[in-house]
Amino acid sequence: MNRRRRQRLVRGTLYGLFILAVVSALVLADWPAIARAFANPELAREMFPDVITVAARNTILYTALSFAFGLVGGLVLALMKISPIRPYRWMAVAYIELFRGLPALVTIMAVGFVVPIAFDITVPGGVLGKGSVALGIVAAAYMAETIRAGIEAVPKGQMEAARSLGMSYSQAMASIVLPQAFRIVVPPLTNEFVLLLKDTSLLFVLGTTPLTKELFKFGRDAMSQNFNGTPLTVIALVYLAITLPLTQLVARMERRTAHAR
Amino acid sequence: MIPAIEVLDLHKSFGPLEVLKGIDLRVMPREVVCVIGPSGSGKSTLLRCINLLEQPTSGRILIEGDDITDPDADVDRLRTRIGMVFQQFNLFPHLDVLGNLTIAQRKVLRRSADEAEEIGRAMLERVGLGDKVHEYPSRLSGGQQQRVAIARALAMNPDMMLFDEPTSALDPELVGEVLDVMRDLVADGMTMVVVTHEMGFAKEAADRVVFMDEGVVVEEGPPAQVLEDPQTERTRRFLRMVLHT
Repeated sequence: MNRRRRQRLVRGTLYGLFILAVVSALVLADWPAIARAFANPELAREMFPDVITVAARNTILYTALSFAFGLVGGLVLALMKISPIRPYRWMAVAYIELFRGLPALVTIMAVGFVVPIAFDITVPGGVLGKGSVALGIVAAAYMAETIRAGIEAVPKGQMEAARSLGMSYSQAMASIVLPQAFRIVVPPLTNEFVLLLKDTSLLFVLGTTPLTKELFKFGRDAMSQNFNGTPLTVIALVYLAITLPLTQLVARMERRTAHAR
Repeated sequence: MIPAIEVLDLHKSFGPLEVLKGIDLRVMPREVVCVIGPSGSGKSTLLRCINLLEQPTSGRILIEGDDITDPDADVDRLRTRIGMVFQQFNLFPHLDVLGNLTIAQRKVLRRSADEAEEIGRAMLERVGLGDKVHEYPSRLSGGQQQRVAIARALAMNPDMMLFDEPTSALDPELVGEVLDVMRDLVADGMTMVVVTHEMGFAKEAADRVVFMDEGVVVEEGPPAQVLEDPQTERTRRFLRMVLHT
């Protein structure tokens, strides 16, 4: 048997096993039970319009605000990390290592419960305020590394050319380097946005009210009220309805900027 | 008359490697100086020290009498008097040609948008690219990009221009258009320091040729002398090598 035939045989076997696994899952699944427990049309209908107008809206709001906080924080940390001033670099590294090392849930609870006790102040804005500050703190740590990599991907000659024209370091950074760096980091930052969107499902620990529930809490409450899993299916589809267009949009943006370059 | 550039006992080391070992150089206003030498001789480092893109290890550099190496010097301000052109052009790829020419005028010289644009267009005409105002750098040939880079430096009305191997990254057929622009600058009386391998340009355009090797100035003088009747064996060897390839 020659090499090519052997390769074809191996690949054919793998495809066969895969198809076998899918088919047996489809056959073995208890479809009527699945339909009862996870796809009850009436229960699904009851969730509307609140699943969109309250839950999805809150999820997007929490995500957007956390992302904004994270972006600002991440930019500051990235600039500190490439600074020639050593203490700035140390501070940035300490922050990044700390909040990347902790589970997001711990940070959320720290902002929600430790800060009020320790400093006798509460982050204003209820769940929205506390939640987006907490997630923003975590996101900043991740985004800092991404943004730093983006800045370092801009050729050194760009900064030099800007400086040779008399621009100060900050002018050159703001009007020459960062605009190019951000173009580079749009795809990884979108990834960060999607991760944040999913992390908003942790905010229920802050104690949400019917009006501040995000998607996951909304679905969970609906599940326990009805002793049925259908809400899980609904919120899963709503999550996907938000994230899929987003990743598609970025893919398109990437193609377009690649073309312009 | 105050020299445009005065370099005094300049030393520059990168770690243990000493690249410049005591350079003295004086460039008078309207003078054109070409710096030649083998790669690794320190000529680019010398040029980059003049506008402090590299921090000298020791020595002083005076720009029209002002010490740019003084810790209290307003380096950003002094740099606006010195235009620089790089081997790799270094145009800003996210801005169109006019944006490349106006951004520093507006941010640094605080010119109005209209004024910066007017000057930008005039400079593009000067380098023969008046029709490329709204083109992006990536759509231009190397020669055109380098001419835009020259126009960008000129738009700041510098008193002098530094060229760091401006034609070394170009395809051979594009070298001429860049050298033509540089010849026009020479004719206009611009003070210029040109690090180059273009011996023809050095011969016809330079008032003085400086030959560097291993971090020191080996020989300097009028092009007729340095290029045609070199006084040292090192210069002769270098010239034999470049002229025979």
